[in-house]
Amino acid sequence: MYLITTYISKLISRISKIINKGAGYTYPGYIALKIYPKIVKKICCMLPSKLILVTGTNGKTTTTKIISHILQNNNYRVISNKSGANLLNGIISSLLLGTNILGRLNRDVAVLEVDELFFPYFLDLLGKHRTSSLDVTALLMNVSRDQLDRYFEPDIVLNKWKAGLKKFSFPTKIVLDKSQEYFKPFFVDDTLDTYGFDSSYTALDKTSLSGEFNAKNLNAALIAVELMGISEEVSISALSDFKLAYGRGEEINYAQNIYKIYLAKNPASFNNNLKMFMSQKIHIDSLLFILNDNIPDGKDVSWIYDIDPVLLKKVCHSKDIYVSGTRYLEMALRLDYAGVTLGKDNINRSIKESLKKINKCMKDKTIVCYPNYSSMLELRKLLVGRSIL
Amino acid sequence: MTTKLTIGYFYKDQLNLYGDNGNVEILTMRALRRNIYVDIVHIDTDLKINSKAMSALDIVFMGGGPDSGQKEVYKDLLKNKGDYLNEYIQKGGVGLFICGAYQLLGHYYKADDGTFIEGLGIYDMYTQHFGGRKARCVGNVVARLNSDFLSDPVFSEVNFLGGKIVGFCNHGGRSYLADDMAPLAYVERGYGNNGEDDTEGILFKNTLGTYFHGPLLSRNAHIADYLISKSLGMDSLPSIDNSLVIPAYTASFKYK
Repeated sequence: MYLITTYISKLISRISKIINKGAGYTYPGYIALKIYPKIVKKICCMLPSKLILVTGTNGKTTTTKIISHILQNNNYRVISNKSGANLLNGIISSLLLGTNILGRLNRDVAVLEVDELFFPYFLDLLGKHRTSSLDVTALLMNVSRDQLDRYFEPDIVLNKWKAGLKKFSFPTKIVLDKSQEYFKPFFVDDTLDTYGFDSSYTALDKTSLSGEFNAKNLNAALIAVELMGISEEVSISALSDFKLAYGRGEEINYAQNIYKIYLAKNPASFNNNLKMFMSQKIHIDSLLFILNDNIPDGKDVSWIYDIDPVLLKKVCHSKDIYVSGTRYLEMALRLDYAGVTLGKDNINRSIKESLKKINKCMKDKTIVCYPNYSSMLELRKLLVGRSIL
Repeated sequence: MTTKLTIGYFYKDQLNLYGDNGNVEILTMRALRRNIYVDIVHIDTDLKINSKAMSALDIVFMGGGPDSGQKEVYKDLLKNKGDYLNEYIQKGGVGLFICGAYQLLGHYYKADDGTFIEGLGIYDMYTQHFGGRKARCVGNVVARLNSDFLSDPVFSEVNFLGGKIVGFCNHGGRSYLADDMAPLAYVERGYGNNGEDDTEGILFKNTLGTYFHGPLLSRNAHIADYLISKSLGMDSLPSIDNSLVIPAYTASFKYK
């Protein structure tokens, strides 16, 4: 039954790619769970004995990608969950799609990004089902307010992580941000094996990455691979050809304009992006803000008022501003209250119409886009003609 | 002579869970656009206050916070500031209290494990958390304003939106008003104080308490204008551009 499940998963993934419904990284896992619920146990047992888990509000996808890249360049066979599919469905999909014709995974290490609320449950599942040894490194990147209607308060998330890690039976090295006061209880707990990272730019400056949050992502990743014996020097040289993940500073040429996409899905990621933009003096002509309230984004968009209004006004100064998405009116109003000047014709619920308008008004210009999660997927689909999830 | 609006902003750093600071930003912008000068007084744990300092304020604002933030301010509020805040409110001072702050002004908050947190008891209301026995109140809400509020001439004068408020609530504790207390509004869709008796928030003298968290005033600019007008004792407010506010308010009724 297991082998049939792997074939069905691969078939579903292939079909969803062909019919352009996304790259098929979540649906195969969903179907696998439906037709063969024991797949959960199977997954826990088939993971290689070295497991790196990355969780937190921001930086999961980038950090996971950095670690995988370094390990692959050092001849490790790596399995990872692509495109940020970080719930059970996505993890099952990625693992099943990585199996060979005999249903074997044959990898040395798994690097998985895990949704912050799902993380303690995933530890539970591993503790319950895994029969052979397992060596875990868990990276807890940060906790900040994100989708409060789903995640509730940061304190609750932190408590769940700590409780989950404390009762987890496999040896676990925990890598966390030592500058965060809220991680202190982890560091002072003698039963936890902790390693701290900081926001030093020493390593960052030797790569193509930029910004304080990427300094943290990189430093956390470097510790994770160093714990496997790979020196910083080796890691840095492995990153010479590293490219950021979808929507993390990605550049797309479309209709004679350059679109730069920066995922801005919560106050921390939004303010980080704005700060990076101010410090780097990237030339841009226009900004496109897109705010959706679909399920993956959270129904509550209150957080847009935690975007620093002073930064917002500075970044938008003398640029053409466009606003789109299902909650475009509230995003427009938020910009207005921050003192940003908006043209009535530049706000439109439809992302497609907004792009049309931009391309009609501009040629050979650079447009920086700040979408939240589902609007990032939608925007990318419009710009490259295919979706990623 | 220029008019000045002084906003007393309680515990900005600790109590700002859902973009609550947006309310102060919106009050400020809507006042400035009418050439009303705005002064924000940050009332933090290390600031001492007294009756005189409180009477210099036109509006008092306090937001909701995470549990850790609320614990930090709780002691300071009860010990050092409660009496002055009570006096300010009883004398008819204008205030807006959101979520956790709204709860703290009632008699008590009783957690599911029996933990009892004494409130300031300014109005006759209590809050209880039922743990897993009752669902958390999360979601978009539409509510009809209390008729007393609607008939306040100050509100009638500035109301350019309508008789309803729209917002988002997310709270575990459920609040219950005593029979002689007036809710701010009656829920038409979604949760309010408790998801049981259709009440939402409280209207106590000139103070408003509500579970509509975060930037309540972004979607309910008529409430923002009421607070400004009421606190400054103005008969009317100069009109400003509301061309984004009106469609944002209207669209809110459809959010699921």
